[in-house]
Amino acid sequence: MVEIVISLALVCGAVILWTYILSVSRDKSNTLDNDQVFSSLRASLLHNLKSDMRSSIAIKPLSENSWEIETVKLDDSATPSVKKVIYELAADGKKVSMSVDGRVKTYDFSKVLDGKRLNFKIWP
Amino acid sequence: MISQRYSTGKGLILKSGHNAWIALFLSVAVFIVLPELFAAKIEFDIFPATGTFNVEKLNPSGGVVDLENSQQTSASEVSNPNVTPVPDFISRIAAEFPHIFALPKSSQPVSSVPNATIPEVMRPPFSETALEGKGEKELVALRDGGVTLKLLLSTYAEASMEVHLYDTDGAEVWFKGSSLLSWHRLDASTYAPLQFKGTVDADSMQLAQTGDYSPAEDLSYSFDIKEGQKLVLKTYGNAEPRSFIKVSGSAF
Repeated sequence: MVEIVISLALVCGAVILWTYILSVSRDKSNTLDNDQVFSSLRASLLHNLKSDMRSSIAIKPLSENSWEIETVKLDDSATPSVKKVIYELAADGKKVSMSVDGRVKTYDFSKVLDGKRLNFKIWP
Repeated sequence: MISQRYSTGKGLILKSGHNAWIALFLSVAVFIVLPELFAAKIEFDIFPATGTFNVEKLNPSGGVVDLENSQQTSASEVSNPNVTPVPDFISRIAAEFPHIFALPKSSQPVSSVPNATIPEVMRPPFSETALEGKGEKELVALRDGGVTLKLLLSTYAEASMEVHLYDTDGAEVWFKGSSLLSWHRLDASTYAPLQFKGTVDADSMQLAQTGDYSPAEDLSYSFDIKEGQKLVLKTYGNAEPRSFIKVSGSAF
């Protein structure tokens, strides 16, 4: 009888330990995924923004959360032209959109911010 | 006398030493501050953290692009070009084995839509897509055809709905200076009709009770779309989850 109780206790202990390790590793994996997505979105946004700012001839704030960058861009034939690029932080503070010539690209951080907001500003 | 000269000399050395330090300090300060003067800053991080990046602006502020001198130049023709003749064996191979130089029939594109995904290719000629609640959705017309929009903006506070039509080159198609469709409601009861193709549709709101307007039922708008044009649907603000934009038609 004692042997059975001890074996059952050992099995239960092993199952609990296994479940705990699984949940911890799942948590860590999710956090890593979020970090990775955030980093790649951030890198892509900053790459475009830095490039536009480097080639800018004027940067002006349109509102508290949006900025217009008049910048020199090259087309497919490497001919330069001036384009107006608008960067805007969404009202919920979780998305940054970049629009040029009616095309809008949105960097959506909402799934990786865990309820927090972005701190995004451009100082001309 | 000697000690006086000595002391004066020491004073001069000290003075010039001070000047050198001040000059060094000023030059270091100038080197630190100068790049800041021509740099713009980006602040980006998750609130409340702050990460700052300085970006050097290479163009002078308010500068004008010299487009004339930036155009592509074409190379002048080479005088007396010595063109190497194509070796004879290539034409012989081409004659004997024409399939080597011909594209297989299977490489011909079957769809005019680039990078079409399997769901896009397999989608039946008539389909219906909906944006329910808040969010954003993009649809690209697979062929010329008609589109019907059915919509409802249900809200108790400020909320908006927009439908934008973009041409194949990415430029938005404007209707009397407005997007294809826009609807902005301030609250649950104020009369706020929507605008379609730049014209206000007065019947899009109906009087439910005295001073209480609500959206008309079964609002539906149709228009034609060309292959490759893009529809962007947006619902934002405090729209209720039962709000929707349904897009149907033979173009998708």
